[in-house]
Amino acid sequence: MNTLLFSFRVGGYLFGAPASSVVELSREVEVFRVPGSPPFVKGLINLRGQLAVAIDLKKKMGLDSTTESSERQLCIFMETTNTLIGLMVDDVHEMFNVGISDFVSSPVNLGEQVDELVSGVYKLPNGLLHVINLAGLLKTNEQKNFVH
Amino acid sequence: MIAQLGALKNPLNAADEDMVLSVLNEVENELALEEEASADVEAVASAKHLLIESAPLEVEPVHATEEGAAWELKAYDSLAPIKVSVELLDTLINNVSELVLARNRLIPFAEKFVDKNFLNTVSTIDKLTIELQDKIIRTRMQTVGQLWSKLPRLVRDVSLHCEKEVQIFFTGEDTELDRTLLDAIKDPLTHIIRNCIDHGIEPVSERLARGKPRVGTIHLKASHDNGMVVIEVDDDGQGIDYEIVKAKAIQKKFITEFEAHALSEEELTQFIFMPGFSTRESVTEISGRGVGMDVVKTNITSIGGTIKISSRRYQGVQCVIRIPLTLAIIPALLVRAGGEYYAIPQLNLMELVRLKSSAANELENFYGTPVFRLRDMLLPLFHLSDLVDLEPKGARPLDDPLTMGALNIAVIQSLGTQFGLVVDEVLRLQEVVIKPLPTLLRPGSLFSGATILGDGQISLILDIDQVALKTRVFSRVKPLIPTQEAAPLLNKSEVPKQKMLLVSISGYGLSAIPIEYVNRMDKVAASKIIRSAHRDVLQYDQQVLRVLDLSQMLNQSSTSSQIEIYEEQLSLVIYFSPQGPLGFVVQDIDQIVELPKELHRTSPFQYGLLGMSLLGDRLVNVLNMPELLQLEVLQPQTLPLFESLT
Repeated sequence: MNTLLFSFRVGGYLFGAPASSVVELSREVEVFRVPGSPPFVKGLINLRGQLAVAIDLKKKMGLDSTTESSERQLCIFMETTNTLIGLMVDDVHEMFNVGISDFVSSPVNLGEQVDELVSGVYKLPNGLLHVINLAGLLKTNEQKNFVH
Repeated sequence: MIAQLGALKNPLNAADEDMVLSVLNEVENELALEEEASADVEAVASAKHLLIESAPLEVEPVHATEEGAAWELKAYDSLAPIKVSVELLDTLINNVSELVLARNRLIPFAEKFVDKNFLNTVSTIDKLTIELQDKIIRTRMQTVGQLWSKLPRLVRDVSLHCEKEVQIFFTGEDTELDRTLLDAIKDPLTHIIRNCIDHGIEPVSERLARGKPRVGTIHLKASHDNGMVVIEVDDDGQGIDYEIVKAKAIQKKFITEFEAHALSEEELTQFIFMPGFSTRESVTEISGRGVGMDVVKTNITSIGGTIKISSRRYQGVQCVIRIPLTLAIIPALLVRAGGEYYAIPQLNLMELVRLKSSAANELENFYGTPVFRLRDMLLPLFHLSDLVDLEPKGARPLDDPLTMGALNIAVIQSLGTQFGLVVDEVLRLQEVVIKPLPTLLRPGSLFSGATILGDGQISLILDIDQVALKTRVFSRVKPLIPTQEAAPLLNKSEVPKQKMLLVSISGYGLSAIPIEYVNRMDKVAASKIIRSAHRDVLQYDQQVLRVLDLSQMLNQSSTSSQIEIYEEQLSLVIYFSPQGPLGFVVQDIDQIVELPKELHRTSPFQYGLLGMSLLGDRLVNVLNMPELLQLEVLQPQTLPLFESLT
C-alpha cells in the first residue's frame, strides 16, 4: 500500500506529512502572538477567516533554532483533528509516493519527545523521511521535557 | 443571487484581485452545495428555479414573504421547510464574513482606478454582500415562541403538583434569537418558572385571604432592547421573604448576624444565586435542593447575559434576563497594548478615563500597586501589557505608572471588584465576531476567543474574569486566606476583615478567636467544675460541657488535661462543636473586633497560631482553632466521653 507524503525541510531534516492533510502553502504570513501560549506556538494566523495555530517546528522538535530563517519563512497549513495548524518550515520539498515496505517505526531509544512527534521514517534512496505525527504536535504536556 | 454573483465575477477576472475572486468562488460553491441539498428535498425543478431567483438560504419559507409577489408565496406554501445542518450554516456565515472583509479591501482598490464600469461592479458586489450577510445571519435566528410553546404544559403539571392554580401569559413571542442562545436559556427559564409556581404563587386559600385573584399569573415578556434580548418573568405571588433569606444566609454561614443587619434587599437577593442556598426546609420533587438559581445564573452569564431579580413582598417577583442577540457577535472595545490589539467585552467595561500627565499626582502608590482615585473609589491600576506578559513590539510609550505621561484607563468590573486596565491606545467600540481559540491555546488562557478585524488583523478577546484573577496574583497585597469569589460582601472594603473575639490567655496575652468558634460567653464558679476521668467537665444548660484551658492547649502540655484553677470565677468561651459543647477557659474576655484577614506571620512558627495582627498599638495573636481542636478533641482516643454524649 502506498502513501502520498508531502515533504519539507526543518533544521536540516526531511519531514513528511500525509498529503491529504495539507490545506495550502503560504509565504510571509502575519503571525499574531498569543500571550501565555506554549513556547513552540508562535501565535495565530488568519487563514481567510479561520484561525490557524502557528507552530515553530524547530522549537517543538528541540532542534537548533539559532539559524533564524525569518527571511523566507514558509508556512504549511494542515488540517488535524479539529484544529488548523500552520507549520513554520525552512523549505518545501517534493511529494513522495512511498510504500509501506520502506517504513520503519522510530527507534525506542530516540527519546520520549521525538517519539511522540515522529511516528516513523521512510527509507528513501538518498536519506530518511521522518513522518510527522500531527496529533503529537498539539500536545502541550510533554513540552516541559525540553523547555526547561 | 448566485447567478448575479457569477455574472459579477466575469468583469472582475480582468481586475487583478485573486483574493476576492477565490472568496467569491468559495461562497458560490457553498451556495451551490446547499442548493443541491434543497433540491434533494423537493425534487421539483420549477421550485428549484424559484429558489435561485429569490433567496435560496431561507430555511423557512415564511421569510420570503417580504420580497415575494403573491404567486411566489403560493409556490412556497406547498413546500415544507428545508432542513439544513447547522454546520453548513456556520460555514456559510464564515464564508460570508470573509466575503465582507474581501469587499472592504476591494473598495479602496476600486476608488483608486477611476473606471466607471469597475466602480459600478464593485458597488453591486457591495450591496449584494450586505444583503447576503443580513440574510445568512437570519437563517440561524428562531423565535422565542418556539421555546415558550412548551411552557403551558409545564405550568399545568407543576401547579397541579403543588396544588396551586396558575396561568401563564406571553408577550413578544416573535422576538428572534440565535438558535444556540435559545438552547442555552431553555433550562434557566424552565427553572425560573418552576420557582415562580413553587415558591412564588401562594395556595388558593392564601391568595383569597390577601384579596388577590384566585388564579395566580405568570407573565412572560420578550423584547429587543439596545442590541440585547430582554426576557422578563413576572409573577403575582408572595415575593421574597427577606427575613427568611437573611436567616438562611446566617445559618449557612455566608454572613454573620452582625453583617446581616447592614444588608440591603438587593444584596440579600444575591444569596439566592449562591450554590447550596434554599429557603425550603425540606426537599421536594420540585425544589429545595439548593441547586437551581446558582445554575441559572451561571448558565446565563456564560452566554454573556445578566439576570436581575426584584421583589415586592406579597405583590410578586420580577425576573429580568438580558442576553445578547447572538453568541457569535459581541460589542467590544478595541485597544492596543504592547503592539498587539485586544478586545475588551463591553459587558465588563464601566467607563474610560484619560488621565493627562499633569494629573498624574492623582495616582498613588498603594503597596506597590498604583492606585487611581476615581471619584470616591480607589481603583488599582494594571498595565494590560504587563498582564499579558509579552515582549513589547517597538517602544512602549509608558513606563513607570507613577511618572509617565497621559494614561488611558479602561475601568473594568469583574468578580465583584473594579480595577483599571491601562492600555497604550483606545481605538474604537466595535462589534466583533468571536472565534473560539484552538484547544492548544485554551488552558489557563486570559482570552475567551479571538476575532478578525476588518483589515485581516487578529485581535484576542480578553476573558475579563481571568484577567481579574490574574490581577490578584499581580498585586503585592495577597490575602492569607484566599477569599472566596462567592463573598462579594467581603470584597467591598479594600482589606477583607474577619470578626474576632478578643480574649486574654495567660502566657499569651491578647489573643483573638474567630467568631465562628464563639457561640456564647459565660462566667461560671470554679467550684462547679467536675474533675472526671482526667477531664474537666461542667454541667451547662442540661448538657455536659468539656472545659479546656487554651493556654495549656497552646503549650501542647497534654500531660495533664486538667485545668489549673487560680480564680473563683472562670471566664468561658463556649463553642458548640459538632462533637459536643466545649468551654475554653480564658483569663479575661475583652471585646469583639474586626481584624484584617491578612496576618503577620509568627516567626518562628508557633503551634496553634494563625499569625499576628496589629490592633492599634496592641499585638493580637490569632488562634488557629481547627489546629487546636484537632489535637484536643478530634483524636479518636480522647473521644469515648463524647461518643456517649452524642
